[in-house]
Amino acid sequence: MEISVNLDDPKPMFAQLVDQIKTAIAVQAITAGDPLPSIRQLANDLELNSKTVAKAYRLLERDSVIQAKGYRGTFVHPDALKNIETNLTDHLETELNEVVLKLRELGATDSEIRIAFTNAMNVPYIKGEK
Amino acid sequence: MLDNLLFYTVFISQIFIISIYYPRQLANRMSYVSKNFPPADYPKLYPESLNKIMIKRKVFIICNIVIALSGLVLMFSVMPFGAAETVNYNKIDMIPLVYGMIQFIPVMFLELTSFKLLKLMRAADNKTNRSASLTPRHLFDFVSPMLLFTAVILAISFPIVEWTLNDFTLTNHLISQGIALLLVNVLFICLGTWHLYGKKQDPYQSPTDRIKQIYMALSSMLYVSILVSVFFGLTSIVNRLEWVELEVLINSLYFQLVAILGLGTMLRTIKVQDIDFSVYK
Repeated sequence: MEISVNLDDPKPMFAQLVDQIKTAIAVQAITAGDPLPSIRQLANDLELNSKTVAKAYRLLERDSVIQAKGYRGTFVHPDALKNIETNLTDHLETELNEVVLKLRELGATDSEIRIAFTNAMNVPYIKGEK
Repeated sequence: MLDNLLFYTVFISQIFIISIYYPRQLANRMSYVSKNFPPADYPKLYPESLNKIMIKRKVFIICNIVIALSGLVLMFSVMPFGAAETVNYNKIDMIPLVYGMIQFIPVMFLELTSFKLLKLMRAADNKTNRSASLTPRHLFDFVSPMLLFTAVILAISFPIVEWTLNDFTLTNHLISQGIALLLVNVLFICLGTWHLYGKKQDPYQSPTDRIKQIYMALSSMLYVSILVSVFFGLTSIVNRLEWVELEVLINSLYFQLVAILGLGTMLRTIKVQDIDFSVYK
């Protein structure tokens, strides 16, 4: 199975890669447990920066579409077919839009919302901690 | 008389294989490509003009002819006919090695030319779509584990055996051979990794042809690595037994085998008729 990226596409490269791999799983060109190329191999084959490919792999792993197994390599996640529907970016935008709308209804100004958002982003995050 | 004939046979074989047979095969491939895939129909294949490429081909042929003729002159001057008994083999044992290195110069020139052409191809490549396979490439997809194991065992065991036979003394000769063996194998490891995971040199090459090229490169490097270890082992044995006449022959046969396993593997694995030239349209 071949994937391709278009340099002229306004969509970022890592996003194109994520979409291409998800499509490959959706059409069952690759299935659960199938190995994927290493970051270095894919980066060199596509002539992309390895950080771009690493970012795509990180996002796919976050969405449980792929699994990194250390030195053994990267593999398609057992539940990949179910998880390719997950799009955290869309969910993120939906949640944030709701919060911003609520804050505006309470009377907060845009600059107050931005300052509060920046302060919230600066709070260190420890996974599992509430 | 028999020594003469044996030396002539082996040395003529070296001249023929490295300076005539394989160069002719390479030159014929270049002619075949230029006739069947002309620049008008396959512009991407010619980042520089066909004339320039054909001039380089002629230079390559002429160099090989000159080297072949020099080899014949050399052969009769170091071992005049009927003079085998008076020849000092200690003085001529390095000649096949040195001459062999000279014989490979035109091939290296061709390799450098090829690198330059590929660089020009990459510079001229303006396609915005890039594709890659989602199949990972692993070393053992291209070479047999047994072959790799053999190469590793031979590379490690030769210096150890030699050291043992030297009563566990590190001589300068052993150190230099060990370093040479190490450098050759490290070079092969680096080149092998580059072939497997590195960037595509030919931006238009089809995935199938790339797989064949990787297979060819890795196989020939493994064979040559084994050959280098065996060669060092044999010369060590021959030195101990003081079979100087045999050392001359071994040195010559070594270079012939390097050509057969290197160039020969390439020519056998990547037949020009099987290459997908449609990618260069």
